[in-house]
Amino acid sequence: MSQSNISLRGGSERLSYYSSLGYMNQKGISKNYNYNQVNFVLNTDAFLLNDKSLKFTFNLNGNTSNNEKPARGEGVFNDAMYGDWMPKRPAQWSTGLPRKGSVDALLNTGFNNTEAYRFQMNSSLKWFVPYVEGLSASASLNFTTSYNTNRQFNHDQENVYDNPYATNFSSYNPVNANLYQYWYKYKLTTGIFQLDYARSFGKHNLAAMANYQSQIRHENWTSARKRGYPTTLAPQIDLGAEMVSNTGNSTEWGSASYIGRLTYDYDNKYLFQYSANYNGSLSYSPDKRWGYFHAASLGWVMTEESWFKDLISPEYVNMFKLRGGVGLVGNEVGKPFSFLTQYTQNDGRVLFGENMSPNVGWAVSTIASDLRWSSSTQYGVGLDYGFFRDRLNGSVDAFLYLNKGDVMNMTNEMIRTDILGMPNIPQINAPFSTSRKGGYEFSINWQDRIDQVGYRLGVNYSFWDERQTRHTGQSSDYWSPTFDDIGGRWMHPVYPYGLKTDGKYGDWNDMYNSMLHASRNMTTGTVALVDLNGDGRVNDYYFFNVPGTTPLTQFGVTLGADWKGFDFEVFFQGATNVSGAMPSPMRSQQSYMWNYGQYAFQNAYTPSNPDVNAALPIPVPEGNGWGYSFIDTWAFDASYLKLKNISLRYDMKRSVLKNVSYIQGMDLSFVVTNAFMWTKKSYPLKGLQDPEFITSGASIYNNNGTLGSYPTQRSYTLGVTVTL
Amino acid sequence: MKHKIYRFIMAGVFLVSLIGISTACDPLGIEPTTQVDEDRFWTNPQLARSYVNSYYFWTQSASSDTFQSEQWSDNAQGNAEQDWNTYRQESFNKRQYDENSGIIGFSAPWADAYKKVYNVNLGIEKINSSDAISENLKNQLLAESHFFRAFVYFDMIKFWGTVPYVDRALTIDDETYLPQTEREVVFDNILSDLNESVKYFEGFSGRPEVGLINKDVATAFISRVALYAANAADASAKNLYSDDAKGLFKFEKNSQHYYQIAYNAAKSLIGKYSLEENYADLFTSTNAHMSSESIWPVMFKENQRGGFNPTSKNGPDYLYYGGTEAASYSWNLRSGLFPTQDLVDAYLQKDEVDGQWKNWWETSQAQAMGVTINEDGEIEGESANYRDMFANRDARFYATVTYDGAYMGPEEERYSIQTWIDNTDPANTLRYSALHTGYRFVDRMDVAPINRASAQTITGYYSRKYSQFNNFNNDGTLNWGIQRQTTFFNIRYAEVLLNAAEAGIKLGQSDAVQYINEIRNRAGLDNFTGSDLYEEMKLQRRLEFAFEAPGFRYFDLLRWGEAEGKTTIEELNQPSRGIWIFRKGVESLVVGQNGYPVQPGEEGYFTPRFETFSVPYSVYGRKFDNSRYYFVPFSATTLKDYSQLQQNPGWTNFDYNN
Repeated sequence: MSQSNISLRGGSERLSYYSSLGYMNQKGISKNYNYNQVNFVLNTDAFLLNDKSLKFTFNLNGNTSNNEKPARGEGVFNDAMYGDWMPKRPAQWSTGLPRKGSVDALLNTGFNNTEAYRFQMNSSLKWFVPYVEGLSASASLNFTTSYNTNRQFNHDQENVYDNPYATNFSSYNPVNANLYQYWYKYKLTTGIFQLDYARSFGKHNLAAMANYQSQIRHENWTSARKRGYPTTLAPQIDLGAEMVSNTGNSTEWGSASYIGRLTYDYDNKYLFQYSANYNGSLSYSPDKRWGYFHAASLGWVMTEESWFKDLISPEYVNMFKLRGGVGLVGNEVGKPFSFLTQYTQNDGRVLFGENMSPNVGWAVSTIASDLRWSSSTQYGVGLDYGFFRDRLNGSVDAFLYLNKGDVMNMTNEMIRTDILGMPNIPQINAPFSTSRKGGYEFSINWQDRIDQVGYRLGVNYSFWDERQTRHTGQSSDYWSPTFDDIGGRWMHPVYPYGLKTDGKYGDWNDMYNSMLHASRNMTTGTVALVDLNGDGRVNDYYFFNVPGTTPLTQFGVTLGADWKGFDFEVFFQGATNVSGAMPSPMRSQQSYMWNYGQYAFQNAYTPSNPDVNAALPIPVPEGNGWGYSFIDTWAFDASYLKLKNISLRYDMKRSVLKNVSYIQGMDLSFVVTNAFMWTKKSYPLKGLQDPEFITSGASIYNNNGTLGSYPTQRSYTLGVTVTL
Repeated sequence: MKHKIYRFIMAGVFLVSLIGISTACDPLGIEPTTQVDEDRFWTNPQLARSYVNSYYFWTQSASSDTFQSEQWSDNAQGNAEQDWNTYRQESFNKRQYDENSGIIGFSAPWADAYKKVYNVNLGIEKINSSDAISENLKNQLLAESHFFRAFVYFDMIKFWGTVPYVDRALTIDDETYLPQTEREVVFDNILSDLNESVKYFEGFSGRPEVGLINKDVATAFISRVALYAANAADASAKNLYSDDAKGLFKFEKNSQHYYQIAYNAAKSLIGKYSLEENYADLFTSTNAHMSSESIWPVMFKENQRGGFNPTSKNGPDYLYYGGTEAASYSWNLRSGLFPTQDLVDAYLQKDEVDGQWKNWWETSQAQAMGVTINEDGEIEGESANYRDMFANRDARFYATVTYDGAYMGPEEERYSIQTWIDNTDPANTLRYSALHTGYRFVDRMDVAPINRASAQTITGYYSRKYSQFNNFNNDGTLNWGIQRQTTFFNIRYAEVLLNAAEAGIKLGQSDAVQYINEIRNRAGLDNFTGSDLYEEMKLQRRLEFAFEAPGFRYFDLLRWGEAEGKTTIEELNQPSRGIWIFRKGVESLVVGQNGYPVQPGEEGYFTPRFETFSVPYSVYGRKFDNSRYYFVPFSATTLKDYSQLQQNPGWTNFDYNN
């Protein structure tokens, strides 16, 4: 990978500018991967008129990139995982001929290249209104546009042999060679009109802002696919023997909002702020389109009061501030134009007539919903403090959100949506709050100096939680009592519910006397399912009530000291109340685990490691595992504590280089990142995945569902910084 | 002063630009660009026409070329392999059900069907109330709408027996916990919708295009539905379903009532159409939709409409014959839908000596081959001329089945299909001889072939209907990926004849035999001289429509079984049969050196031997030994919430874990 950048900054009293040009090139793991990008930025500010009361800003930036990939993209490696173990499929046959089906050959079945342009223009005029001090008006127009051209060429594996003794290349069929070209255009226009006013009258400080913003977005795309290419040397749409498909579409979207804010304080002692939004959305019918949301907050810096200073000496309490606020925050629910009953054309065609002429079909696709903005009532209180001349300082905060107006069906009677037969159930906003979210956080820092040694200690801690408080309809009162989530956490993105397990089977006698799953308890080392409802069958799904992949509790501890130009610091970071999501293929749902399991299953029960407390069950063939259904151990405790950083720095200028005049400064540093990590014994991805970056998807095809991220990486950095 | 003017000008520019920005974009005035809102939709007659067009996407197997119901029948043996894009019937055939999800891997039309019902009901209401649609067009659109409502319900009750009948577009405030409607009422509603359709067509002055529903389609459909209703009435009369507390399966009217409806409807079409002279043309001609036999064709054409292209499935997966080391090619077809020996046995053969049509194992040709029947009732023989058994058969055999020695393409060696097996060296895996059989491991012929081998035949035959051998690659291989210009018939005239015959037999009408003879004669057979015309009608129906989309056989067996009060349907309660043909092949590991059967006099030659057999693998089993299997069960999950439904007969307290 290479990257270079050049930038220039300058100007005069009336005009200033900044410009830069950058180039980046990144090579991939094979020659078929390549990425390069050119960026440019040009920012200018100009003050017009004699009194400089008009400011003109013009910013332009953009980039163009080329992304080259093999036809199958990253899928090549997934393809290569199936079948034989990769080392058993080298690029050549034993006779030296290139081998069909090898990873190398799979990389040479065409390309998937994207050429992209993006330009952003922002121009604004700001007028400092004369005669009224502190008032300014501005108008700006932002314009973002991007163009992509994607070209995908797919063809048979070329220049490879079917078998070691073949005398001809593997067959290449021109009809299988097809070229797909896709053009995409995006345009976003934003207009903003804003008035600002800020002025102090004695001890009264006042600021106000009013803003109107409108946005229009246009998107369109066109694509064509042709096939029949006798050669791979000229992959052009024009040259394909026959047209396969030719499609295109365009959409538009818009939004508008008014924003106002008023800030006032008296002598920095009493603070007040009120802000309001008035938002319009195209998801709602014209009479319900606009939502008004606002928030107010108050602050009181007690230590500014003379009576407080009299009561407690500023030596002990130098700063103490109370804060509080309440607000109504809007959330756009529903889909674009969902207030209309709409009809859409089917994808396919039906043929009628002697000549088999194609005909289109239209069907009802959306039944109108009656939605408006949903809202969340949010309360927050907090305080900031500084004691002992700020040697001890920090803050405490708490918040509570009541989320109201969630989408629910137009009726909360139970309905059979199957019998109803509508393409969708029309929806309204729930007239009550459906979930509650609250939390708190605090920080405490202490720093002091004893003689030549300075030391510091800091702790911060945060916790949040969210609970279901009410269902939006009777239909979500699940038919099984083990599914009721009222008062619980329905936040795991992948495994909110599943089958309950109780460890693993360690011996056959145990299994003989237990209730087994018909096909999945094929061996020891498989999980023991629990019959929750006592019906003699182990098929009881239940609601896990576990936290999600975002930790509810996070904390950090900093310890540091300095002495004569040396500075030493350690930083601990940790999280608890967090669940991981078992990624693919650790759930044994993909057969290539047979080839690659040896790398992944060191945390599993295996015949050579018959540990019933192992984090993972025994690897089993695809059809015999719980890979595609959920068991509670797929949502595991991913708490961790990390010694995130250890750093040692030394300021050379302080002593050694004190008298070297041509060097302004010189620092030496040594930093260890991710020095140590502790996880629970039950953490199943030890050595495979850093718990700080856990997967959060169930799909075996997407990056967020596969074992995509790296194991914890420890790094050592030795640094020298010189200032001349 | 100058300074002030300058300032005014600038302020003016500023204001104008503001006004420009705020008026140029009216962000909330945007309208959808890819959809049409309801108010405007129904003011446009073309859109109303398109709305009705969308019903045509619902015809069976139009969405894909699965011959699903055919593989449930005794005509076909499907492929057990789960991974290929072919046909999966194991759990269906073996009646493996799950209490919570019904048949494993299959769902009978339910929620999707009610979506269609909603669409039709909405269409009927909106078309009726639209001012923009002319009276004439309204008649056509309403005729089609009523037809399709009947079509959807008919599809549902084939699986469920009976369902809740909804005849208007429900709103969110309507009661949706609806109980099932009596089966007889659903049948009557379907028939009355079809009559309604006929009536609307009578008020329509135009001539519907080919492929659209017309009066004849609706009339022919009446005869089809009425036959099913007659059988259901007989089932009721025979008390087939005792476990029916609400009496949902009870009929007031007798079967004669429905046979009369079927007979009258079919009879009214007799003579309006005629059978295509050459049976095979119905499936291989690109112009089949214009055939004199075509009543309701469903058409497919490259780049216009895909989804039905059996050419890309019918046939073997493995190598073409005559490959060389330098160039060998594979068929790469993943059929997994193989004609059974039972079906092949049903196609009669013309005796070379007396010119009579007989079972193939009873002709003088068979005697010449030394055909015998063993103690299991299977047919055995040994002859160098064993392929005579496939000669001089019913013309429909050649349009339906690809057999050992048949060609898939011109009559050149490379297009020949050879399904014999070389069993002389059980230790050796067959590779380059016997290219098109599924038996690769001859020491384990009682084990189901897996992976790609399962796309090769285990019965000895490949399906053939609709295959068009008319597009080849430069290297001579069949270009099967291209969607052929092809047609399947939701209704063709042969069905009208057979419907008339079936109802006629039951009503004692004397014209029944002439309709059956018409069918027989087109296939090359002579007139029927036997005694049991009803059984002959069943046989002709089987042969006429084997491997056709939409499939007839499975549902025919079910409805006839119901009418006869059967709790066991033998045809669906036993494994399929196939044929093993044993020959010596030249075997080598090198492509191209061989691939041929050993000729007489060459090393290892023995006289080819054949025997029919019952497929031994458990995965290919079939079960129908209880009347509960006529209908699919409602899942426990559904019934828990939807207590207004009555579980289908025989399923209450059924032990699913057994």
